[in-house]
Amino acid sequence: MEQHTNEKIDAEAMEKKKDAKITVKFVIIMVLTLIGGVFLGAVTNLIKEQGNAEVVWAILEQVLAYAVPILFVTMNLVAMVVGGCICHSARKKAAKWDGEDEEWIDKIEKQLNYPILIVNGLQVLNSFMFALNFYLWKIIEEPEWQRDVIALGGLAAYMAGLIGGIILQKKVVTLEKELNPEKRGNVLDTKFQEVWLESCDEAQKEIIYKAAYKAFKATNVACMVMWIVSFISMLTFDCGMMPVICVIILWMVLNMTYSISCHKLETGNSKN
Amino acid sequence: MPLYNRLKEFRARLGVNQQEMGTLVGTSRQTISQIERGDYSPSVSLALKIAKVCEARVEDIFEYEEES
Repeated sequence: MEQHTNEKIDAEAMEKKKDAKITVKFVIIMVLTLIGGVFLGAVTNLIKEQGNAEVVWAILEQVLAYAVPILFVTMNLVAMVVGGCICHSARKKAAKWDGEDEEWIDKIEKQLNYPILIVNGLQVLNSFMFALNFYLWKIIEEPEWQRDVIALGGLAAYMAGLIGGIILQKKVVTLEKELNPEKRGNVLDTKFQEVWLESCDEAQKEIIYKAAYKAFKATNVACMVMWIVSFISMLTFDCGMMPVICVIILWMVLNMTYSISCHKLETGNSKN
Repeated sequence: MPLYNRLKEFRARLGVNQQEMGTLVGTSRQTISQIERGDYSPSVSLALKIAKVCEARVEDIFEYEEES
């Protein structure tokens, strides 16, 4: 009885210690964020007041006008070649699989995650590069040929990246389906993710849910950081309210979707 | 994870590979692999299905150890 009471007291003390640590960590983060925000604001304001920002931007725009179209095409080419090679190597390994060696097949499965990582990263980077490309197209007035190169090159690279990404994803999914015959889904189908999830069993669903929760937490932090950046930009670079509004919409969708889904799952009103 | 298992041993007794074991218990090869590696603790229903296929008790295959 006495031992049980002592264990309870120890557990409570440990819990209090843990809470205190969390509180200290939280306060430190808040103070550092505040200091960082003030510092960034002061520096950017100084640049603006001295009038150097415009010169820096003008030089940067000229450099980017030449670099971006080349970078855009190269980035897609490299990603496709690397992703394609990994996929090809995995297929060759799969052809050699005797159906028994479990370590061998686990290695192939792990290898197949990389092309998907490349496709997902490339999709976001391509969207950014596409916008940057047309931003440069808009601000550069001459020479005319440079504007044509930026517009056509950007459009071609974006389309190539999009089609290449789909082909790469299709190759991975086809091989994954060959290795795991229970898997379903066609990457060209708009409901691919739902069909794929439906064909996953409990262990794979748990992986997907855990990964999604990590993504939620990371996005929440990213939203907070981007809100600070967009807020400072609004005050110092005259970017207007648009960046702040965009971040707030994303943040709101993220948190509301999470909270509403949690509420529905807790009350048993969700289909998923 | 404090759940240990002897699934690999029981599967060897049955003489089936992970893919076949997955088919027998209605799950994927990947899940069987994850359970054997100790990366995933199966649900009660899956543990019961595995025990039934192996003709053993759940506690013969899965063992829970208190974390120190």
